[in-house]
Amino acid sequence: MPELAQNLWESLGLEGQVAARTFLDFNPFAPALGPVRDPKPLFARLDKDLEMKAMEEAATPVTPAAEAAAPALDVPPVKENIDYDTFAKTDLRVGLILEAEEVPKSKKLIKMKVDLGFEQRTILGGIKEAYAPADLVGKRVVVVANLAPRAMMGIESHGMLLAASDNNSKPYLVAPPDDALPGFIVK
Amino acid sequence: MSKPFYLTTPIYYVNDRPHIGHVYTTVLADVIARFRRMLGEEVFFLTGTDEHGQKVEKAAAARGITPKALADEVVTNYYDVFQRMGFTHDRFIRTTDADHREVVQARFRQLLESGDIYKATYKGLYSVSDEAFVTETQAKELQAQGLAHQLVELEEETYNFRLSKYEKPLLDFFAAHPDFVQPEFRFNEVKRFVEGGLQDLSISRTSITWGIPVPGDDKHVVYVWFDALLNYLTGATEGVWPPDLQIVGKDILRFHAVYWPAFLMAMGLELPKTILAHGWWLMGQDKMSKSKGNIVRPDTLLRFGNDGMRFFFMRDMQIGHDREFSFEALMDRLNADLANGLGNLASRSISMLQHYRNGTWCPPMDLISGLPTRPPWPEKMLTRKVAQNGYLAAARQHDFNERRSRWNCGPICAGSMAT
Repeated sequence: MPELAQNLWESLGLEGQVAARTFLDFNPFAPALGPVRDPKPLFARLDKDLEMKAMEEAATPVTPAAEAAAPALDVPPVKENIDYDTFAKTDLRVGLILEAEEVPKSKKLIKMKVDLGFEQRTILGGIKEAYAPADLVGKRVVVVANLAPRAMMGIESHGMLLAASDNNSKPYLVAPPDDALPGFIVK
Repeated sequence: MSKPFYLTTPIYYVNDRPHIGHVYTTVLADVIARFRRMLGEEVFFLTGTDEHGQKVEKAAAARGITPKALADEVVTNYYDVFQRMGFTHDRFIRTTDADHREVVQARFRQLLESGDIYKATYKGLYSVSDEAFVTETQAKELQAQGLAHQLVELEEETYNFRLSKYEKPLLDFFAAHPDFVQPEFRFNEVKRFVEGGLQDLSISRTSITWGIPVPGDDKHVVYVWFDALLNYLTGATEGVWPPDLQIVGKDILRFHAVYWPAFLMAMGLELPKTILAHGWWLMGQDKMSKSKGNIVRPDTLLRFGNDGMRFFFMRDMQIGHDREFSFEALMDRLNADLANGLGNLASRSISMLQHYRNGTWCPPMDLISGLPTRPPWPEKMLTRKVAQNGYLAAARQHDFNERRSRWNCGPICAGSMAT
């Protein structure tokens, strides 16, 4: 237990790295060692319920081979009706992902450069659990082009990618066909 | 000065990211390596990745990249996890390393010249998932067990290793080295397998291209197991041969306890001292596997800290046997033994030192005199007992503190803290 041992080592008032020492370094007849320091906790007690919950949340959804039965659909009821004009306020465009990279320290986010035909945008998407950056480059996506810019993890994201999922599934990016040009209006 | 203690893990196949199985094996090796170093011994600890073979070739083709690019990508996961877990290996070998290719080709040529490798036509049942030809008996066993091995009939021109010639020498060696395979019941399985008769072993393939070419005959690549096993030879720095302890999973024991020593005999090299076959962590009685989707990954294990993970693995797994993995059991163990037991003991002992001895202390006499200069393991593989004993020592110290706290003891040093 390298970390715990080092912690205890320091509490006992000893110098250096315990991992670099051997049993032969100890001489019981040597002058007394120390002084000890106020001990730091060696191992924090685990709250089982909290840990189990956190692990369930963190678990990557695994897609077992085809033999697994399709899980039941888990979605909320359909939202109330809106008129066409309300929908038409949303400007959806075809985008082409030019670059993609993981956002450091973020579990979910991928930073992408997306070509919208008339301009290129930086867009962040919470799709890291489902897609590797290298697999995203060259993909066509649907972008909410007039969504107000927003900063996440210190990076400004202008726009949003449409993805399909239910409450349990990973996100599936909505993909226009390969011959749809970047900038095409989706309606 | 004796030679360094040479310790190996298997090399891990790069068709998958690391999971609890890889981590457990490497933790076990790392604990032994660290303990040996604490005893003042020099240790050479080798681990790495196995990167050739059909599964890697196929997985790469499916993604439209070269097998080497796939291996380069997957190996970074291993680097990352092994670094975060603080493993103290001296070399991380990859079977795509240039020096390994040279060793494999040179050893292949050596055996070709000595006649232990010869060219033939082979026809038989081949297990795609194991990348090995199987005997009819093995095929029936596999089918009966319902294991999802895809068996296909395959015929190819092949280089064979004269394994049959080593049946008797292997049995003689086993008889003379009762500790060659641990635990003993696994050794018995190995002996029975060899007593059942050994057929020559095909050690080249024409059906795949992702491998080390057979020297002088490029349409063949060297069989992945001949390639993989020789990593232990490539990785050995001067003066460390032979391996003192080779840790393997029970599923690959046959390769390590039969083929590997036979190869070494043919090469005229000294055999490893001990092959230790450990069991599996099971999830609901099943072996963890990618297709079943029940894999515990390193990130999940590291939630419990490097120390917690190590302690649980060593304390709760009896080496050689299988054990059901459960987060419940893991957390109970860590709370009881580390947070409560050891944690309280340490804080209590240190407060007492501050209170009664102005914060000074001496190493307890019996802890030092009681230390084995040559530990009973890994020869007898008792790490679980050691973890238990270490904990018992802590419990004894705790009792001692309990008693001692009622007395106002004087500042005596040597031996005074002994129980």
